[in-house]
Amino acid sequence: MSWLTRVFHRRDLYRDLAEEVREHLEEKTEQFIREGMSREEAEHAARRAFGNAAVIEQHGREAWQWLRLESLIADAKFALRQLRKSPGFAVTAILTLALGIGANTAIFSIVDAVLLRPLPYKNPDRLVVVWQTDAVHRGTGAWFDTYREFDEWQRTSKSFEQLTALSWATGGKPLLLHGKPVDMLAIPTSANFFSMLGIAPQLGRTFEAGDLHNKCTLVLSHHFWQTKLGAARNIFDDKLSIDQSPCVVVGVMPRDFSFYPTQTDGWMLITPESEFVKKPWETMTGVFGRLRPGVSRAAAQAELNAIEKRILPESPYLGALGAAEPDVLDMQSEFTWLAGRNLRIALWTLLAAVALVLLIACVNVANLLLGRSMERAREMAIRAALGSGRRRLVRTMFTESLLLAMLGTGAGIALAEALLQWFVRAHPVEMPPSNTLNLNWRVLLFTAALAVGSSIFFGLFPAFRGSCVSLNTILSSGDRGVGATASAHRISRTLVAAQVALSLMLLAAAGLLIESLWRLAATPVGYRTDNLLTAWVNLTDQYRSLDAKYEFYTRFAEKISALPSVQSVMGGSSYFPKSENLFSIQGKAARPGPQPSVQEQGISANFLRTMQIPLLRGRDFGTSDRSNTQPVAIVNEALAEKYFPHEDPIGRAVKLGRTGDPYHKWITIVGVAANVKTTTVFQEMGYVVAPAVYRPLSQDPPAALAVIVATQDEPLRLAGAVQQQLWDIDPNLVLAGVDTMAHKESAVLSQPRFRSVLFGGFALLALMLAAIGIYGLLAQAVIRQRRSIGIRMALGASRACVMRGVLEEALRAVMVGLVLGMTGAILTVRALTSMLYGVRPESTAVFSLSAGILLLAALFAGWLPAWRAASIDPIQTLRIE
Amino acid sequence: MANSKEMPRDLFPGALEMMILESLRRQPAHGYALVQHIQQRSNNLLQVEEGSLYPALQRLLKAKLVKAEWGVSSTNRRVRTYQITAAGMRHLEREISSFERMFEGIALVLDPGKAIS
Repeated sequence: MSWLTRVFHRRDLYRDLAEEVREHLEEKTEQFIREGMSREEAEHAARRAFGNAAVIEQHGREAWQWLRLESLIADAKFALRQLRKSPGFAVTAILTLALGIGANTAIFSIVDAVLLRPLPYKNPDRLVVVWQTDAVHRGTGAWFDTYREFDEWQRTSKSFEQLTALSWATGGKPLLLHGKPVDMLAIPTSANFFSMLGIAPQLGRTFEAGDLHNKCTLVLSHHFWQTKLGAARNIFDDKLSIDQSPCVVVGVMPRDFSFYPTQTDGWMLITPESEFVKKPWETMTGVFGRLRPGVSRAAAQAELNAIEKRILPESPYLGALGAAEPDVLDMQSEFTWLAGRNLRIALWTLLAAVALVLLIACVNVANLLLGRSMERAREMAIRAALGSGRRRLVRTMFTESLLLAMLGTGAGIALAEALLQWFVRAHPVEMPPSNTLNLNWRVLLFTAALAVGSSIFFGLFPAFRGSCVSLNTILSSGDRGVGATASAHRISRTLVAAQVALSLMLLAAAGLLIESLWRLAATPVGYRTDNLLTAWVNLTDQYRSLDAKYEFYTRFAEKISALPSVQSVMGGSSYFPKSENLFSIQGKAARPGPQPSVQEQGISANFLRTMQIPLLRGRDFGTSDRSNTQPVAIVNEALAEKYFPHEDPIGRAVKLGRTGDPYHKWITIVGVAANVKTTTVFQEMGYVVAPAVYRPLSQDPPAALAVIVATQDEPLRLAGAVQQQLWDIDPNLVLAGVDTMAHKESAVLSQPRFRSVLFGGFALLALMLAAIGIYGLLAQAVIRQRRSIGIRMALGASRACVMRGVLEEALRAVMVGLVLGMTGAILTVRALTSMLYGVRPESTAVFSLSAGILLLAALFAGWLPAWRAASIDPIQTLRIE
Repeated sequence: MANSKEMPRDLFPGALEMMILESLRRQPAHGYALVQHIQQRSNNLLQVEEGSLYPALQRLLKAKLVKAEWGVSSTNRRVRTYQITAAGMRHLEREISSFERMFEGIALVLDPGKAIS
């Protein structure tokens, strides 16, 4: 008989067995009758000799079953019935688990995509980034390399299989599609970029050596191709141009391909005609490479360093590069760092926080089950009396937990999927280019592990306790087994204390992060941010001369100013002082040590006034400052204090370069402006005030013009009109990166806000779960002590006294929890240090506030059971007994 | 229930199966007859709970060490008669030889004097 036929014939097998047993008993009975017993006596005697027929038949049947599986199914069916009988309990437990597991799954899938899974390129473990770093102060910053360095490295180094340049140092250019400009962030890169990553295009091909003869060759990102070009398949024949040079699109990348920066619209081949090759020392680029197998990053770095030493003397900017050294870094960690300085630690701490939430949720479910096992003590005792073995009882109850875990996990996965979809759509924080975010098998494996782990944690223990019933006490006392439940109650209390402790840790961490966010947001930055429209205008090659550029700006400013509801128009090389520059002062020998550096910003004459940056001394820029008049500058207070202590900087000449640098002119300082606070790429939580030099736009207009339009109302509403005016001046130009200053400001806070919101949410969830835990504990205590409370009240205890008694019980557990939580928090909050601003990790204010909130929640949760205890009618209770 | 705790149902796992197979080797029998036979042969030293025979028989059936057939007994009773199979024979021989080795081992431990003599 094969196993399959056996399954179908099982009924026959069982029937045979049952009949056999019946016949056996019959034969035995007859035997006894022959020996002289009455029929009734004989039947009893036969049964006694035979043993428990039902159990024996069961054992006989089990011989044919896949024992574990089948009894598991039976147990599961039973558990399902039990759960359906108490829907309140089931829904609470499942929801609690779903929240815990769902949040864990969602956070883990982000951690997995960003930090755990290698980058989705070929040989990801050998991919590196090469930056320039400060050789003296390592780890303080990273800069682009020059194209010259890249070129030499690529030609002579032996450490790399491939080395490619890719630069986002230059701005975007408008792409002309059938004569209409489209804003496009085209990232210049070398021909081997795609082959280095080992990624094939979805359509067409990637770059080839032959493309170097074209003026402009493009590979498009899937997103740009789809949203801006309508996913047109004939894109290869379209007439496109960038900067008046005809452009050929050769391919479109797949949807899930991305590289830094993630908003890239397309990749443009660096040709021998480009700035990169023509002015290699002036053009900045990132350098990316794939190491040869077996070559360490340190070895590659040493080689690049040696090559660089050889070519540096030919550099016209020797000083600028003097202190810098190539630094070879792991590509994935670099991407994570680029997306957010604290992203790595933030993700790990979030995972830890959400794990704590799950722990608290599990404690709650364990407590619920424990309460249930107390209620079911009698049922268990009866089942034990009927011959259920202890293991069997544990298994029955554990199956119930497992079923809860499965249902909770199912709901949790649905929740995680919803959260992830929201995350991808809403894009609340910048994420590095990485694997696509989804619930893959790794994540699901993690979730399954969570489910099993948590069901063991919350299920096995109460099941074990529940099965430990002393039959006699329970069945004979008629009461609910006071002894057994009292000890279960003690365990409940310990669990609640643990919940309080964990919640306090989460609350304190959330408090610290939220206070940091609040302090960061409340820091005055020193300039106006309201009602300002910001955008870039990337000028084409037609505006090559300085005069042409400035003339464009004046025409633009005139036309836009004429628009209704526009207050004024400003222009600049950027929105804030930016781009580190070398700095020297006429008549002062360079100090030893690192060459002084300052930030620079070109601004229009009305900029300081409109942006409400006070001019402290000297004069503002004016119409008299022209390209042919004396070069002038306004410096900020920080610069004045740092480089001109006890001196008047006005009238002094400075240079944005080395003293002997012939490329830069001496500039006279005409004014001192107040400081503005800016962010830096090297530090997330905090602002910096760097020494800065403002230059009049008229004397140094940039090719990528930052425009700021001050409006009377909602600035974004003006974007369309501004674009129209721009097309009136030049139909080939397009407004890029349209935004508002207020949004830019708040974008700075996006990462801290994201983690504060999540941490706050988790803490709130933990608080809620802890409150439910406390409530459950007290509610059960009140039921258990009904009789004693009734007696006490009959003997004259006041209602207030009873309430106090119940609340005191809650407070004892909460206090123990608070002390434990405080200790835990003090030991762990240091991990948050880099994400804090304006608050110390061991802030007493935050800690006491968290403890206060918890205490309040505990009192709130305890009030209802306490009130119920106080309204016990002593007469009725005693009568029931 | 109580006596099942005082006296183990099986001497050791597989002992009951071995006794059943041994009985069936001598002659085919139905469940009731098997119990009687085992109890008599052991001089009632082995108080086997009668019912415990049946799960053991089911296990042997499943392992195809015995086969069963419904028939009518000499007392005109509908009975299910068990018969040992060839596989059952081989199994029994293996079991007996391993049991004998084990028994010898136990005896040596319990009565070391025997080992020396």
